[in-house]
Amino acid sequence: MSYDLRRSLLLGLKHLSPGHVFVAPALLILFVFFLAPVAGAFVMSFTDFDIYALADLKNLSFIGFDNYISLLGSPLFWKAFGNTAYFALVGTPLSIAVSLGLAMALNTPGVGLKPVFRTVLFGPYVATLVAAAIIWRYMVDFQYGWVNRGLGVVGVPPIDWLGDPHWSMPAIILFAVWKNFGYNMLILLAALQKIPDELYESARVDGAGPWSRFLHVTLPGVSPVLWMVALLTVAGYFQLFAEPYVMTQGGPAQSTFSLLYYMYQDGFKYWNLGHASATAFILFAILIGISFIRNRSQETFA
Amino acid sequence: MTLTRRATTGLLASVAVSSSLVGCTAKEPLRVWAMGVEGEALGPFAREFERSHPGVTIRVQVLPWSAAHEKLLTAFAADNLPDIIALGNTWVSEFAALNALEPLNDRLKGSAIRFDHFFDGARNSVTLGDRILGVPWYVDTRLLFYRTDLLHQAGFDVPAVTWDRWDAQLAALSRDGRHGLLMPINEYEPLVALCLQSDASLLLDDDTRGGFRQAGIRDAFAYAASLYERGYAARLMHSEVTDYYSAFARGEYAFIITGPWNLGEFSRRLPAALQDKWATAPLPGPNGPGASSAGGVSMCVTRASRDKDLAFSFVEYMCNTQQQAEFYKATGDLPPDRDAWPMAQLMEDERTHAFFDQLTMARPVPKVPEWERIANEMTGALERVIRGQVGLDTALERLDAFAWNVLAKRRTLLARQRSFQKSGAA
Repeated sequence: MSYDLRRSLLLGLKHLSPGHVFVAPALLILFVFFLAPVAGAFVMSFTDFDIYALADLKNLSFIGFDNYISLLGSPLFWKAFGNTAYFALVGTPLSIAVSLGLAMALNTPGVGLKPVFRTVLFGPYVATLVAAAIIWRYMVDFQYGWVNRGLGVVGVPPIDWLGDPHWSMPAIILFAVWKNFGYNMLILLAALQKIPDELYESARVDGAGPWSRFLHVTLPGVSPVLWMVALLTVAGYFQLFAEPYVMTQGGPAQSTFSLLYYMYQDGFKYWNLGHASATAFILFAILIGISFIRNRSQETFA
Repeated sequence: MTLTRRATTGLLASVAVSSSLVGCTAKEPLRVWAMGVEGEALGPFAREFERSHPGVTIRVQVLPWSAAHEKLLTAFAADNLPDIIALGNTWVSEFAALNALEPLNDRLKGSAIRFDHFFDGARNSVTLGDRILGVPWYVDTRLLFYRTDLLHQAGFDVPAVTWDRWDAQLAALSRDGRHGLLMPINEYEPLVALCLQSDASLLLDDDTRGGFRQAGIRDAFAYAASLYERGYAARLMHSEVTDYYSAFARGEYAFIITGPWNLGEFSRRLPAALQDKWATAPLPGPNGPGASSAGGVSMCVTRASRDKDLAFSFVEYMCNTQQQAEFYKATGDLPPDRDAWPMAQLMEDERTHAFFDQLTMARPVPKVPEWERIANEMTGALERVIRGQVGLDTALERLDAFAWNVLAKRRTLLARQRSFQKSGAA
């Protein structure tokens, strides 16, 4: 028995290539700081780990799927889920439209100072999220914010951006779009630059207007990249947290309360780690689901 | 890479330790964690303590209030709590449940701290069962800050003491888009204070279920909701109030429900012309001056502390009558020891005198670890009522259901404890 074990170990060692040795440190770190905690959290999601359990492990018990069941039955969870989906499903198309529009503008031949524009437009992405969110909080202030002043100039009555449950999420979406478009813009710009000019020229010769050139040359040209960008953005937007944390604390009337915010509040504020882990795994399942959409749709569209 | 860095850090640390050992005796520093401006003000007091106790070093770490709770729990989980924590009173029950705090009953008996002279509310909030788990360091409660000039203009000489009279004043002050009162919707303290004014308890049956459907509590909720519905209070969240002091200075609000830390802030931040135009008054109640919440911060010695005697002697140093008066002078925080008030000339100032009256009427909030969570949900329920999403009775019913769920573990543990005691007795 032990001989067999030793033999198979030796055999295994023989098959080790230098590549294995090179990836070993990275794998070790990945295991210690990622896989092991994730596995721990998964186990924890089946327990009622809370501050009483923290005081004395005797107060910890395995409760099976109770956390998941209570989550799926809790209105607050569905509220958070709905808000997150709203943010991701409205925010992503908007974000990509802005990125694509600006990338196309930057790609127009004959526009001067391109590097300057590119850098300036990339600025919001590089800015610290929290600092930018605080500045936005002032900008969308009901009484004194620039945004409402600007709207006032064109005759729109002031909007209570962060105080009205109907406007708080749009305000957060606008902020997130402004904050994130630069990154997608650069990727799309690279894709746009790969589309050969001849395609546009021949389309023009064939009598295609700007709209049909966009539809039949630009879009097919960037579509693989567009999908990748869209899915990365959706996945990122599902992890909405810092924007509402800084700007609204999840309010008003929980209109900006996201799944991740729920998890944070549950886990780190009230220390219900079992329950919070279950939330995390539901979010994880959603994200895995989204990445499956990618594989199939890439085949059809690309 | 990691190893080398750790080795280097270790080396540096040992150099630092050994060089500090040359100067004094080999004693670990006493670690104290305190929050906010009080934490910053604690430094000079610690230096003074060090001077009178040769060989003792005190390391004060200041935590921001907003991150303190997470940090404390994480530190407990990592077995890394300091010797002394200046703990917000509402958190004492939580750390008691964690069994992280050292009972101080015996140490208090022979000490310079005159615990029986402290405000009842303050004493009560650190006493769980018969164990005293901390010494109140400074106290706070919520009451009214108001603009005397605006009240006069509206035709009133003194602020109201009953809800009815207050309604009349707020109605007169809430005109032309202005609101008489600033009470951010998602701040639970004012709502809790209004609920504490009734005779009913917020939690029932050994704090194992919510009591939100009792008449007294319902009245308090209905009154709070009506303040917003009638336009007396601005429908604002905490994060929307970007310019608290200038809004008060501009007269956008005549009343603000807030605590003692704003005594200092108002003197500092309001323009000089307004300095004789603001005052404080106890919260109006349903039938006369009402109760408010007994808040504040207490110094607790942790069970993890390796030198509890030294830790307690620092607590004693900070919390005796004389020193409480000194601390008031340094920070403006109100002393829990009633005898310290005349010492700091607090009874001569009308603004602080109002706090004295309010503190004698202050009642502690339920002492369970789950309280903050329930209190936050109270504001959620109120908000849904104000925004017309649910009726008051449905909201309160759901609040009771919420409390029932949140307190489930507490019920289980209490039941287990009881059956254990029963079998132990038999």
